[in-house]
Amino acid sequence: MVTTTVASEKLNTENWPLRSTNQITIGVIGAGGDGVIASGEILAHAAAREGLYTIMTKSYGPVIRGGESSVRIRMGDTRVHSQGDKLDVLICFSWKDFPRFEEEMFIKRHAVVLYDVTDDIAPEELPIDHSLEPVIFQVPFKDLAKEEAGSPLYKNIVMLGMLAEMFDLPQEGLEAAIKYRFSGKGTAVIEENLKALFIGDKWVKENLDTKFPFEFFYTTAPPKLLMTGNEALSYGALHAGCRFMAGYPITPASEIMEWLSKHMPKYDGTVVQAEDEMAAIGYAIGASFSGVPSMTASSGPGISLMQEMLGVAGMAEIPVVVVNVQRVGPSTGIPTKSEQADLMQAIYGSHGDNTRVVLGPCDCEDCYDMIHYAFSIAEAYQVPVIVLSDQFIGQRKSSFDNLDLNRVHVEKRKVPTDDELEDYKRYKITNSGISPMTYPGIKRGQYQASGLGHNDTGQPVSTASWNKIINDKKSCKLDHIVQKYPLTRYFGPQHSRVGILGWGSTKGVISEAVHLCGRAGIDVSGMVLRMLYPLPIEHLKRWFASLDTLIIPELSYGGQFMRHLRSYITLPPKVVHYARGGGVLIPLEDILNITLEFCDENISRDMIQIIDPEEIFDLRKKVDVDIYIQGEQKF
Amino acid sequence: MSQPVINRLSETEQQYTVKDFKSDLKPVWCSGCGDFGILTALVQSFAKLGIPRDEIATITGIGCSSRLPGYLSTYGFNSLHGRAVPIAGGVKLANPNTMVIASGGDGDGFSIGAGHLPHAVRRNIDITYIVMDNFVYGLTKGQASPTTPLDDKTASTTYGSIEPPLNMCGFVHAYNCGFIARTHSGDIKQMVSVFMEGLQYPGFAFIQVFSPCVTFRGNGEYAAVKQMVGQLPEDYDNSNREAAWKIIESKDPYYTGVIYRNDNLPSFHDRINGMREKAKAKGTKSVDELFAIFRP
Repeated sequence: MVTTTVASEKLNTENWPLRSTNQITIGVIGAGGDGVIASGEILAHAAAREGLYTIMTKSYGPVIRGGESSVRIRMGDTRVHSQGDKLDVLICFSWKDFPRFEEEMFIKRHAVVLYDVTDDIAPEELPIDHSLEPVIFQVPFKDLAKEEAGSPLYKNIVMLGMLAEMFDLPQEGLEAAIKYRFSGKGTAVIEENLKALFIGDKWVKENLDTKFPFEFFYTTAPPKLLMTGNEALSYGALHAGCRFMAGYPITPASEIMEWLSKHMPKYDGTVVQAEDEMAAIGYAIGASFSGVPSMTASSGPGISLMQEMLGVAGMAEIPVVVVNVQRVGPSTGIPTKSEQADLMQAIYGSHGDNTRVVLGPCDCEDCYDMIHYAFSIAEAYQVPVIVLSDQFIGQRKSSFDNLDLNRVHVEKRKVPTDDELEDYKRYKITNSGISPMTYPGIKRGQYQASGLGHNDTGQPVSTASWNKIINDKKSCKLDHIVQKYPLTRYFGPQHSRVGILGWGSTKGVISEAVHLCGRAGIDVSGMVLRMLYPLPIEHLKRWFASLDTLIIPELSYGGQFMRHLRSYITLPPKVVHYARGGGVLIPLEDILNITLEFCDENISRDMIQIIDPEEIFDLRKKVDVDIYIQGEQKF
Repeated sequence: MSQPVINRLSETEQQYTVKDFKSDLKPVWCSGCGDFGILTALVQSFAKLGIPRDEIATITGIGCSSRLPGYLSTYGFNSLHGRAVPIAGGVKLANPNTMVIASGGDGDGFSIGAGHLPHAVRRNIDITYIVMDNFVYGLTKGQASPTTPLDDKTASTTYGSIEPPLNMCGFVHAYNCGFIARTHSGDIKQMVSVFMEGLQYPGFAFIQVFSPCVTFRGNGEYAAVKQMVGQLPEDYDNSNREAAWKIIESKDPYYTGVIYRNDNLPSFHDRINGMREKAKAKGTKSVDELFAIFRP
């Protein structure tokens, strides 16, 4: 026996749908066993399969396995820049678990909320913001799953079937995703899941004769790539020529070691799970000393342990790539959430005035390019390179268009010529700062590496004059590097008075804000730095020259990025520093509110509380609300 | 019984002398330091083995004995305190054709570096780890180390050491080390024999070398070491794991020679190769072709 209630019967649905959108954001929360994560994975796969852009994130409760969890997925046929501040659709299988994920599950005005008809909580009692007039449906997930699909375990798939029919989600994509997900479990299981999908679909057709407040309207395209940032980074490292990786398990970086341990042996590479992080980077530095491009990967606490080794790599000029998938700190912090507060550690974490390069990928596909840059810089310039990813980039699934696998050329180490081996000086002073580097096996190339102050042969010396010569040598390498690889990304018009500057995953909300403002006729530009140290001063100076206001959003309670910038360059007259600690991502709404406040004097303050970023168009009354968007991305 | 020592000289056309392996740099070691003897024995071993110096890498930590690479003309890396073993492991794994020696002192290896040993040993990486044990921290001027005898007065133990010393050979034996040897810097002949056997052992070879520090433990140290060591019993079978415990734990005498040798341990590289075969069993795509796994 199945029943339903439409809690929002009192709403006037005559004008529905109120808006047409080509991007939809869905959130699902449930207890252990509800199949929440599976539903997110299936939706992401389906979206990518149908050529949609998507960003999907997962959140877990504290239990090691099988506890409460949530997923968020935003998909559409134009580029999905960021996670989406608020949900169009919320599905909750377990309201007692809702509070844990509440901060990430804010709903939009007239969002659709689905929950089970047998749950003992009335629609008006739900812990959501009722002033937003949510459209609540109580639907029979569990009963349908049990009675028609054969098991209560199928309720997540029944739910997907309902969503597919309600919002016209890609049906073929969902079927393909289900086949993919359960491919290892035999045809019977696949068939049952497909049946559950169909049951949900059919039930909505026959029982939910109502309009919905919004319409999801999109065009399909050929399948897109679907990867996490950690996968892009791992595969990228392999492609870039890395053949040695040593690591140690740590959330959220373990996947890199796991992926490489599976694939690297196929290409005669070596992965070692070391006994601790110091050994991990130690093995990598040893392998690099032997001539092999090597890397390690960790997160904040592990990178702290690696600082001494980073020092010796910098001093002895041994290439090594160190990936930090940042999580919330300090100390043990929040291992499963994202932050951007390891910047200072990356630049200055080792004692002394050490030499290193710090890069910051800004999204999943950028992880692929950036790891190529990392190896190119490390190998060519013989420096340690730290790649600052973060949990949001590293663990979210993103779909995107093709990757040009060979876009970034990876330079190799300079090995001495026959003449140079005549009287080989490992640290020969050159104009570029780069000294040809030998490794065991090369005849006449023997030298002693060490962390001690040394002369151009590598012999330990303790004079101030040699100390300066070697410091100059290492420092000039950095000058050459930043000149060759400024790696900035710029969004928006050529000239604007207001600019937004960020790095890493905040690029998502920055680019989206610039994009939306542009469409609304508001001039604001954005820049994302991917070369974080040394800073591309000239690029920044040129841009700052035209700005009177600079907005700096960052996920760092201590405001590390702004302070880093300020220590090297004069900032524009007005700086709006939006610094917050990790735990939730920076919402687009906040960036837009700040930007509008400084951009357009005609907008009064009480107009700028945006609930849905698309309401920006109402404010400006320039663009019709019924939008069918064909996107263009100018990066 | 231990394996006969293989002399590579007959395999090579080149004849090497000790001069081929020593650098021009004058050691910073004090006159009378045991490390001189170890350096002598090491270069003699290299010469006898007939391996070109550019195919040898000596990786050390920090300490008096860790200055060793500077006095050799092989590839070398005087790295970080306690970290010679993992770095040497990386050097070897990246190029198994290199002969890799890790070396350092008792503090470097068994205080800060102790955490790395169980794992390098159980992996059985084919390196030779020579610990120059002088029962003190020399470079930092005389503090107690993990092998300083109980009650000894040092710079950091004014009232006598209250920490019983550990047993290096026992430590690595517990982790199933396949080659354990002990010798002392006063016996060049024994050092050369032990070094040569260890260098050729196809796995992790551990060699503890008593190396008197006359500066911080007095001139009587040589005599003291000579007194405390002794030869292995005539009938001792060094392939017997249980019997090795007794030999290792004996303090009267501290036995010297090749105490334990296991010729049935696959090296880490053997296992890596096995794993690579498993990985390639179903055929291998090119790296570019592998990319297809990311498109639904």
